[in-house]
Amino acid sequence: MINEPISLKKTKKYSFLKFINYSSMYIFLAIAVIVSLGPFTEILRLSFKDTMFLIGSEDIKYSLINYINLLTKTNFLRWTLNTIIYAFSVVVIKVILDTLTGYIFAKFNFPGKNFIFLGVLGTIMIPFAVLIYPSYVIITKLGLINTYPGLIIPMLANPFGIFLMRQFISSIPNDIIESARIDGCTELGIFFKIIIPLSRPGQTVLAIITFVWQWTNLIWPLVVTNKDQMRTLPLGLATIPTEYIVDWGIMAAGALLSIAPILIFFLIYQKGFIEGMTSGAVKG
Amino acid sequence: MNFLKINFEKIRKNKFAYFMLSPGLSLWVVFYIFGFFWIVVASFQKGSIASSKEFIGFKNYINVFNDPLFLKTILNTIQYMFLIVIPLIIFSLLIAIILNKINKRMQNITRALLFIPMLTSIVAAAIIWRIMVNPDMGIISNIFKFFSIQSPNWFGDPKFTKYLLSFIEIWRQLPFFIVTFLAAIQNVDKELLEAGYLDGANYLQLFIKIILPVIKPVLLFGVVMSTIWSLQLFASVYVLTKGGPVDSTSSLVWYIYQYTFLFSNVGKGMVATIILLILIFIITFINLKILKYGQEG
Repeated sequence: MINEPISLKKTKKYSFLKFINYSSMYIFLAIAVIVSLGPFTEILRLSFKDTMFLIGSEDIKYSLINYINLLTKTNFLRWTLNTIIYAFSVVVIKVILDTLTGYIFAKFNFPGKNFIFLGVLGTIMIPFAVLIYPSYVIITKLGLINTYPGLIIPMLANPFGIFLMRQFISSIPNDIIESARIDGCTELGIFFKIIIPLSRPGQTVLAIITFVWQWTNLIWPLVVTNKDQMRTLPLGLATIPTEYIVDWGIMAAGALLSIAPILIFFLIYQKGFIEGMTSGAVKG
Repeated sequence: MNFLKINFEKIRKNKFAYFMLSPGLSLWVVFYIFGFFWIVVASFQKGSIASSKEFIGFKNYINVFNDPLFLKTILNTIQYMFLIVIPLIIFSLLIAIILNKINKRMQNITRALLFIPMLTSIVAAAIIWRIMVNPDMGIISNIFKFFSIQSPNWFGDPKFTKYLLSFIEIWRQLPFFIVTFLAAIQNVDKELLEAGYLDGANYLQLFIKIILPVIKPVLLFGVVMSTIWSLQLFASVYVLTKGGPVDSTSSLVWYIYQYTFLFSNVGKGMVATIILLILIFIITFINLKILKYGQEG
């Protein structure tokens, strides 16, 4: 009986603390969201301002002039097309190639397998920045400077996908493969009819990681292209500042439009993006 | 002789495996293995990309280690590492913990909103933040003005330029670590947490005793990835500062790019590349050691 009021008081105090706790949590989250997204809304607003009036004055004319300039005075559309061709080609070829290589490593036993796989694993942490010079020389010798294959081919060599696909394919039961073999299915048939459909989740992860990677890549396109016609979006954007030195409006418009395609893709396929980004880390 | 015969037989039997391995693996051999040896060879040579090469022994190494710009670059790179990795891990872990505590619907919406900077290229991010801190129209400068504080000279004062570049990197990479850590926290056994909660543990205790040991490998993965990414800082330097003011923002990859492609001194660029590689291997090695130790303990 005596205890009752005390315990009541306790819970009340506890719930008050909990309230503080929860509200500070939400405030913190709100700040995080503002810092993450605030710049986009601010840049969106500025991108509609006429650059002539952008600096200094408060009552500013809103217009589409920056977007018109971006599309007419720069090769922005060409850069977008280049980025789409480049990123999608890397994704498609890489997914097929790495599924195949990952399958061989996961399900075949052959002399030298462990040695080769350890070698592949050992290079997984090497970033591409290390390899720009030899890659550049190889691509130059092949005469592929300023071409799509020149942009694409070195990106296919990255060993991360091989490792990822091997992890996913290892979990496919051997029985399925063996019974198909007994039923007279050819090796290629097994790959196309069993391995490819059953490793879809792994392919999705690889595709998304590769896509984001290539859409935002700067250093390789910078090295391997020198014609404005062949630039990708990040590289094209990076070259605007020197040519239009004070034109912030056009840069705001360009930065925003360069995100638009991948953002639309993300909004449609949000869950895949987030799971794709995490399963590489948490499972692998 | 006998074992050679068996091996040969085995290799013949596995024709299919070798054949199917060749397209993917040959690309890897050409660009990674061959590329690596090429870097080592070029580090002992003199000349530009186009000119003929000549072996000069360790001269490039001596030149690089006596280059004040290189020493400055290494110092900068270490500074970037701390300026980026520590806030990145702390903030992403904190946000992941909070996201884990709120209800599922709010969690999904907030996670998606927080993910968006990840889709932005560093180039676009650099342009966006360059405009944000612009003294004439940037909202950041307006905030400083509102509080009547002198806005820092972002591109004149080396300290602030470094902060700005690190901040852009953090802003862009935070989402990756938030979603990764959140996924790891959600993998923690719910029953274990409930049992701990019933035993009267508060959230901090639960976090240290139950959640932290489970997410430790992912946390370490995060530290290693962010460290390696911070070593590769390049795009924001290229877009915003070109290494300036007075080389104060020069990063290792910027140094490599400059010497290899702009100054036509491939040898020096390749020496710096090898040092970058060594740094990456040291970090990876330490990580593997810690992980192994963690599993035993």
